[in-house]
Amino acid sequence: MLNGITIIEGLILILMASLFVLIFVVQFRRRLRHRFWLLGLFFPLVRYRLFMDVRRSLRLEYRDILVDGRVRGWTNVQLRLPRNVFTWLWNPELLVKGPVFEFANYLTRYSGSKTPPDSKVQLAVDVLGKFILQQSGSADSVGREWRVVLAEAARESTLFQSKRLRTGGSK
Amino acid sequence: MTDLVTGPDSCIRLTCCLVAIAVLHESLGYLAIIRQFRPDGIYAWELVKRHGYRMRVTKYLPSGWEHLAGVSGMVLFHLTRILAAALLVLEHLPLRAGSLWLLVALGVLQHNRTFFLNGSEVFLRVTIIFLALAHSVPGSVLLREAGLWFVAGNLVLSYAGNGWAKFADSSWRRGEVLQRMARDPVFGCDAVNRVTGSNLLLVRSLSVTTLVLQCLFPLSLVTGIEGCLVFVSWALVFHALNAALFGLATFLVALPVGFPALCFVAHRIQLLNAGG
Repeated sequence: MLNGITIIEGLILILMASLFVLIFVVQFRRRLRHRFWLLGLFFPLVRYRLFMDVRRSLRLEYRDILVDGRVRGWTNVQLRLPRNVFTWLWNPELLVKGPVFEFANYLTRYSGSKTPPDSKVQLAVDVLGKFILQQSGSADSVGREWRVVLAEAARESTLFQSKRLRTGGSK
Repeated sequence: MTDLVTGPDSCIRLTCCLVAIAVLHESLGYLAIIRQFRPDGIYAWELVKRHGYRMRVTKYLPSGWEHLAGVSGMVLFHLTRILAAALLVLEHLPLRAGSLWLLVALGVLQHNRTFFLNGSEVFLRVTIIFLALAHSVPGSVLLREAGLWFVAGNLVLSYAGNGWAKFADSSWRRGEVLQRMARDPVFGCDAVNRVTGSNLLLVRSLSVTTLVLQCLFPLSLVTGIEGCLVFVSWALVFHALNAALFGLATFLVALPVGFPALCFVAHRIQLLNAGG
């Protein structure tokens, strides 16, 4: 059966098999053990030191400027996302989280009502109306005051909108 | 089309091409965000994510070769990787073997770095090691076939292992993990959070689907090439959704590297069953 296999091939096959077994063992050992528990038993600060991402030195400093006036390197760095045309290759979620969900939210916001929004005024009236509905549930005086104020605001908005509709949308 | 994955030589070449794409994706990604590295080469992405792109680093403990090489060394490193990936597409076997061993060496260099490699990166490196071993004797078809079997085994193990680990976790069974993920400031977003927060049935069904298909992924080896294609298409949809919703883009590129090998092995097992 093994006639066709040379020694090198056999050795490499054994190497592959041992690597596979190693991966298998690591795969399940990693699930079971706590990270660095043995190290952390004897050196309790190790875990803290390893996973703290920001460590301050004991040197005297205020807002990253040392007492002798030196500004330490790489401080107050404002990082930006890379802006290139291929960003979506590495950050595909930006496509979805940005315009797609904005549009989906716009569509689903008015899914219950029959009339679609035609202007920002309608949007404002709708949001205020919802807020008033929420507030009317509360019985305290603050809630009542808010209700009055918002009702006024909503009425103003509706008036404004009706005026705008009457004039045909022109100013 | 099926000949591409049923023949060992064509299948291993296809796998090499996919490895090249994955390596290109990874290395070009690093070059694209090179501004997010400190001048001494320390990767600051974790801090960037945590501090919402407005961060202040006071002191950072360097541990890895990046500290010695600096940013210019990193650029050189990734350009070498890109060159090796480009050579991987060629049909010339010794050249392909050489570029695979170069990628193995670079992977060993990169393993001791500041941050741990994620699942897709580990999978890609292990696959590259298997492929390099499979190419080490140029005339041996047996080794290339064995390499494909091991790559497929590694793929199945990576899905099933994660599936079984998730199955042991009660929060995965209840479907809370997806909601937690959607609430996460890094991975989640408001819109996904709103959908998952209100729709418990959807969340539970997604969780259960993920659990079932990951746990049962070894079945893709014994259900023939048709069953294998079902599992492969599910995995593609799964990774595409993860990439689009949670930004886990590397998995979408790295894990499909093993799919041709999986189809090859499934086809072989189907033939063995038909013959036996």
